[in-house]
Amino acid sequence: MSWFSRLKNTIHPAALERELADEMKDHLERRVASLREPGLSADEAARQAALRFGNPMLRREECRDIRSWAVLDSVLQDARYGCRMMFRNSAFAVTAVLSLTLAIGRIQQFFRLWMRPCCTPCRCHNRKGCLHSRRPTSNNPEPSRSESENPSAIRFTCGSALRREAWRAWRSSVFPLRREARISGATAPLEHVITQLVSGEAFQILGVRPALDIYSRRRKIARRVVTLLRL
Amino acid sequence: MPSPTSAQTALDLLVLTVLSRRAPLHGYGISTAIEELSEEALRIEEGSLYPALHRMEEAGWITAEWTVTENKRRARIYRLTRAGKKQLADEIQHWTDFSAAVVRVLRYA
Repeated sequence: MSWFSRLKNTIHPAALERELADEMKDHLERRVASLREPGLSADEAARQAALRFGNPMLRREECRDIRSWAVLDSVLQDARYGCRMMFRNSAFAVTAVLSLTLAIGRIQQFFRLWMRPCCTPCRCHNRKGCLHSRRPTSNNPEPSRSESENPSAIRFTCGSALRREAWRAWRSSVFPLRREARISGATAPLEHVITQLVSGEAFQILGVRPALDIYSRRRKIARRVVTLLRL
Repeated sequence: MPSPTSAQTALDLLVLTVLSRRAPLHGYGISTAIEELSEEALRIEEGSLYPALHRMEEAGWITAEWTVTENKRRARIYRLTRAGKKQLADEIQHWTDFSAAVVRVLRYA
């Protein structure tokens, strides 16, 4: 029997039920007719035929399990029951849908903003390059100028420490990390920055422009390799 | 996977044998044939025949179709397939080996 016919029997079990009922009914009728030939009464013949046949409901269930997918059938039954309960109680249904929507939206936002850098491959020209934004804190409102001469530019770092950074970024999404870094160069004074790991949409979300016309410039700042992206 | 000598396998062997020797039959005809051929020594529980038939149909050993019999009754008849013939040959061999082993034990124990 093909998987298609089993799927059909699972989704539309009425035809299968009818077939099984007809087949077993035909068998019982033939047995009753053969028992009545020696002269048994109709009731006695029916009783003996039923005894010889056994439990027809049990046999039909066994046949149904063989000719359909019991697991899928169970899932569909549960789904139908769930839909019936939801239609009966609309307030519960609305609450359930809203809760799921909010939860899915929040998880999706988390994934887009924080987890994507860990999951998508780096497309930088320099494979060791990446995304670790640093922006000025209130103690240091003006970051040092980048090559783009854009005072609000965000510089990014990336590298093989991406996983470690991802954990820090997740933590910093709730408690942003404040640290000191020499942004302008190795001999530049220490500046207070907030570091967070972000995805490409961070520019739009944070409302800042990325550094422009900077390409694969490697710098070592605070023992980390810095690559400025051209976008 | 049932044992080669289990009741389920024995029932399969009987059903396949009956279908190979006689014309295509419905379920009632199969159970009646088994009783007649065994001189009523073997009487299967008729309800358990149908799960076995459907299982063998799913395995591809038999096919089934609805027809109208000479009594103008609608019946589902079963036929043996090529795979069923091969399966029958294998089961006959297993059963022959098993019964020969039992006979040896009875004779030489």
